Amino acid sequence: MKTTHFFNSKRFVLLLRNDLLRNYRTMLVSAGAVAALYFVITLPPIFFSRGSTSPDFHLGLYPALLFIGGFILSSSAFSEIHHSQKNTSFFMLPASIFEKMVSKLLLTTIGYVPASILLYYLLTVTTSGIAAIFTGWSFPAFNPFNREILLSVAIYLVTQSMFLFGGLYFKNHPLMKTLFSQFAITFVLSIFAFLVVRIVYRDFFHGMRFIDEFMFNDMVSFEHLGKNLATIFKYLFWICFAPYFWILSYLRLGETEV
Amino acid sequence: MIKMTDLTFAYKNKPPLFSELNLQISDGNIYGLLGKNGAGKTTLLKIICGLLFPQKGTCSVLAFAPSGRIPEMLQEIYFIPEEIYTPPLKISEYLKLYAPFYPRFDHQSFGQYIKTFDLPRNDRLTSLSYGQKKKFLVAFGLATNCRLLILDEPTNGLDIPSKSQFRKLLAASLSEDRIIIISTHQVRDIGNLIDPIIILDGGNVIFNQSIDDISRKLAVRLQKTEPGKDDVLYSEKTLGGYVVIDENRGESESNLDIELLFNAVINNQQRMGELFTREA
Repeated sequence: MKTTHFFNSKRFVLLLRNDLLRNYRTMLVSAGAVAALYFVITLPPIFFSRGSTSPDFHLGLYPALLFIGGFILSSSAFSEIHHSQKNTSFFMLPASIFEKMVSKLLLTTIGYVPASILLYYLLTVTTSGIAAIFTGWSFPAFNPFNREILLSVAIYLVTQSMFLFGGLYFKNHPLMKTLFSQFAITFVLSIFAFLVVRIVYRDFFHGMRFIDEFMFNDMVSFEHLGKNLATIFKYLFWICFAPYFWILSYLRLGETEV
Repeated sequence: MIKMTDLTFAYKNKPPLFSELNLQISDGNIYGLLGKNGAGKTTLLKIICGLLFPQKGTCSVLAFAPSGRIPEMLQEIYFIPEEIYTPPLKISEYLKLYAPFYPRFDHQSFGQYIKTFDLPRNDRLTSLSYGQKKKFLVAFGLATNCRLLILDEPTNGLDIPSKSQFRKLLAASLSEDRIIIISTHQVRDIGNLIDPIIILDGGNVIFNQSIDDISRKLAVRLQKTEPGKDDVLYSEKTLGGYVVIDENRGESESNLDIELLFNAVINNQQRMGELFTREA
């Protein structure tokens, strides 16, 4: 297979432009909705409560908007493949499955994140202006380079891959179904993990309960195990989670029929 | 060229629609794909486009495997389905976004087609009528200069002058290395356009003949009395008697109504099959 069958930079730029320009009206409407929500949350405290807003205010609100908006966007990125008329147009467009996948991925990650930061920044500047004019007190500035904000962005970039796959896999209500699936899988894995621990450390259990004196005696080894497990999960999350769902999404897109 | 060999296809939890289907489609022709409702015409077109994957057998389209959905293949195929979608863009915006994907797109020809079809250039595609949208997509498809143009019920929604313009444009756009496949129930709209004719029934290609062969091998006549069932290939009641299709035993070629031919093939598959294989 030739490389151009898989990826061609000129074609990819065309596709990216196509995806962006076809959807910019939807994006503007979404940005408007986010702005309205932002003002509903931020303006009443300015006018009705006396005292300044906490500097940590943005550490809660921006990640919330980033995750909610991003997951909605990622879940609906492939909505056209579930549409009986749009799907033909999508699959017949002369671009590779890889390019179509990466285009959506880029728009929902490195396209969405800077756009959301810029939008949020502009909203905070507006709010600051309103606060200064009408109440005379200052509204905390948004610092997108704050460590916690950057960590939220990084977590979003990893977790959105699951919603992108959910959007491909589920025809209707992909966001809710992805969330439910995630809860169901986590629940099943938790039970499985508990049963494994129960079998491997059977001497530390009485029925389904830990025997406390054993626990205290072996606290050091349990701590060690806990740290190791945490490290393993950390690496799995940061390195494997997103690529796993990207590969699944690519394969799913390739085998989707119309 | 399109070649299908022993192709088997079934929708999920349903019996096979095609079982070991064989079909060859050659360059330089406008094929008419006919069949009853549910015969599998649209499914066959989707398999050719790589929108559906066969479970068994091979399908080669312009020397590509369509299930690979390779861009080099997709830029040589333009498919206009029966249920069409146009994004909320103006014609000029659509051109900017979609034409660059087709390396041989001819903007000048597109302009002429738009003019011929009398389409408004500055309106949004979503504001156009169904027929206008279809004409726009036909114009775009022709201007791509792709090697395979597939049209599913293209004349649905077209007004009378547009049908005539459609036939003229399509006939003029055919070249030696191009294949046009038209699937339709409106055979009268494309009567003088299609050649050869493929008829699908029960998941099989039961007829695949050129107009020339059909005219040489079949004769049509009008008679006042009802013919015996075994005396002719097919007959149906008409004003003033019966129109009869029979084996052409004379030298002269006859012009055959495609609707009549379709009914004859569907109702007398065995004898029609024998006639065309015997004399092939």
